[in-house]
Amino acid sequence: MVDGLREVFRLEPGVFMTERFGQFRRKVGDFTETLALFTIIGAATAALTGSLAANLLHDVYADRQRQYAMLIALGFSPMQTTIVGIAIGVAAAGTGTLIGALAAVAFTPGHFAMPSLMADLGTVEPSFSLLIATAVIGVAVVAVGLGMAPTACRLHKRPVAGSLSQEGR
Amino acid sequence: MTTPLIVVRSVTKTYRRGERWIIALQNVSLEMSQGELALLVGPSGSGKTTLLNLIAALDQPDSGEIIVGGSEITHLSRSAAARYRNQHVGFIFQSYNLLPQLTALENVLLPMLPQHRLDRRRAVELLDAVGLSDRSGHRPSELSGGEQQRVAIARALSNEPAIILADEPTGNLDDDNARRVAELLSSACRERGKSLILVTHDQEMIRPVVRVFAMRNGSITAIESVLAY
Repeated sequence: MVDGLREVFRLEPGVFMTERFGQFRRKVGDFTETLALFTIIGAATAALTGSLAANLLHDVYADRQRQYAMLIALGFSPMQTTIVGIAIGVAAAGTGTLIGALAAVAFTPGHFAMPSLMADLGTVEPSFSLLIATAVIGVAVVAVGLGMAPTACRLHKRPVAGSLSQEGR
Repeated sequence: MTTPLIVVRSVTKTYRRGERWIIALQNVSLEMSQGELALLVGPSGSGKTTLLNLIAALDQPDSGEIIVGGSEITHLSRSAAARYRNQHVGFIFQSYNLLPQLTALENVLLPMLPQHRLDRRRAVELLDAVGLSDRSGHRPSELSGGEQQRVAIARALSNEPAIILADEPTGNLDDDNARRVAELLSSACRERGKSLILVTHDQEMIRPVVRVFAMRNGSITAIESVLAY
């Protein structure tokens, strides 16, 4: 039978070419789908992380709006107050990142592999890439920036006197 | 005749609330000397807090001028206004506004931070003067309302400001504590030669005061001079 098949491919190369092209196209398709899937997962994770961080910081800043107003009333300059605010934000975000990193290290399985859509690749073992890490962090930072912009704008525009006063004018 | 410490001259302030413009202050003028104790009385919405905020440079008037210690503070930049408040004004609020994360002592030290001049001994002395030396390590949540307001008084005095502005400082306290805090505030200002403007509904809160400014609908309607005794 093997000899027969060899004979067919030898006599009719077109069949052989078609078969190889179909196989190649399938591989390219699988690769494209795999790449698209992981890109979507990575970008969505980064955006979600960014918006969660922005939401957390928004709550932190909204809660402390009165305290910032009080610091300004005590004579802290806007720059000093901003530094205090950023320090609190960085501390909150840093604490979250540290806890997440520690949890990841603590619960990492000995062997981890993701299924691949590429037929002959089998499973994919994730590895660290500085470029991809930078891209993901960049997306998260942009998401945090966009998320925080309205809060920062509101804090800046709202009169200090209004934040401090419980009584009406 | 001594030069007045605070001069408020023909000050007007309006706010926009939705589509409406609200006149918070209308052509208000007053003068106060160094060491003078004054009450600012009037119903809610009469403009008392707005006037206090303008003297503290927390807000800017639409027209008129405010001169403190010979310098006009009407249109200071945000940084200059912060410096002015830090060096010349002590603020006491109705809701104390202490930082909940800090202890009583740290709250008193807080106004010294912008000048990078933390004088722990002075802060302890101030807490001692308001009768809270044994509570210096406590956070605001561990203090009663009266104690928190006494910490706020110590904090207002920590940078030796010439002016103390108190916005209904006894509004959240029971009668007993209110009387004690009012007495403490007036004696602290009198002993240290500070000028005090105290916003209140209760005209009898502090005696003796030198003057009582009565406000209504954004204007000063009466100035009563009271002899100190």
